[in-house]
Amino acid sequence: MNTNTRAQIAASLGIVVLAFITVAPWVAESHWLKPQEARWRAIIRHKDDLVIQMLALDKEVTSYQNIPEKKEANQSFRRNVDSSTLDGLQGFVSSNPKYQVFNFKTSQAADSKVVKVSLVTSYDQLGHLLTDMWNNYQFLELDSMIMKPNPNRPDDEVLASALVKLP
Amino acid sequence: MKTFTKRLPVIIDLQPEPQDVVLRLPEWMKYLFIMLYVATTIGLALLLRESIQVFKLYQETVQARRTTEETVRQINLMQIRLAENKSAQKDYDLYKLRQRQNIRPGPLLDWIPTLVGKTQRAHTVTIEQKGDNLEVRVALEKPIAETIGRVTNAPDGYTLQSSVEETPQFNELPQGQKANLNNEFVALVLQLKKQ
Repeated sequence: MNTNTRAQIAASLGIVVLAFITVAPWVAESHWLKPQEARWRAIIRHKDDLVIQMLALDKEVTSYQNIPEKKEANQSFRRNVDSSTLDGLQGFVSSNPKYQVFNFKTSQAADSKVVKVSLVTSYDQLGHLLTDMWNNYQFLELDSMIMKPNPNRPDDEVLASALVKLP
Repeated sequence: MKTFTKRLPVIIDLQPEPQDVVLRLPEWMKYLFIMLYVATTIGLALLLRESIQVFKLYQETVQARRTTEETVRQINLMQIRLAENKSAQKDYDLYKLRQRQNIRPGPLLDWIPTLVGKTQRAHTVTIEQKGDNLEVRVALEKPIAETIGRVTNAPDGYTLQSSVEETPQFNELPQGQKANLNNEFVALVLQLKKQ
């Protein structure tokens, strides 16, 4: 093998080595960066999905109107329900100086929310009493009510008895 | 005093220059080098462009990671708020429904006296709730010659379903009291439905 041939082989090998060096970044890009890119793109897609989900949630959250006011109303309703007890009713009717009520009786069967209430009062006061009672205890359920004149004073007084269900 | 002077060695065995050119490449290989140069330059340009794109993508990824963390936190907060809002709204609707379903005696007490004429006297008024319907019975004492007019009006929040006259039940009549000879007892039965 003469000198020229050796030189040509060396030059060819040099070209090949340089070609490999040139190609190396591309190989690295395709074998290492491409999978990374796929992973990064997945992260970005996930972020986009989350942002869309957040916007939808925000829309849904803001679709509820006047929530602080409704929370306050709920608390007031809750307090009203909690205060609607037999003791509360008795206290409201018998110790209220606004009404002249006679013969006020209540009875409640054990383990039942139904209370029988009977009272005697004047015709004028009965309406006020019942209206005030239902304004104070808004969740009382009226099952039935019977009003008839008081046999002792039929022209002045009324005998009212009601079945109410406590909340 | 004797001075010391260093003498440099004298190289006498010089390699002779080769007579022929050592590297003698064929002509076509020149083009191969040119092609390699062009390809490498183009490749480097493309690689630079690709690298810039990859770097931008990497920056976006880093930003996306931060945004994801923040968004997840926001979503959790919003879900808690949404659950609270739903619960408050549901409770409010339930309370309002219960309020609407409950019979309030006010409108009824205003309305019942309109059923009783001036010559009539009401003895027993019974109100009974049956689901959404309400039955109102008014036991009246009225002159025999007088007829009860057809009831057409209903209290606020109710619609009148029917209005009939019936014979009053015994317990609706006043105890130990008989009607005047010219009077009779009649029970007016009205069916109302809550709106």
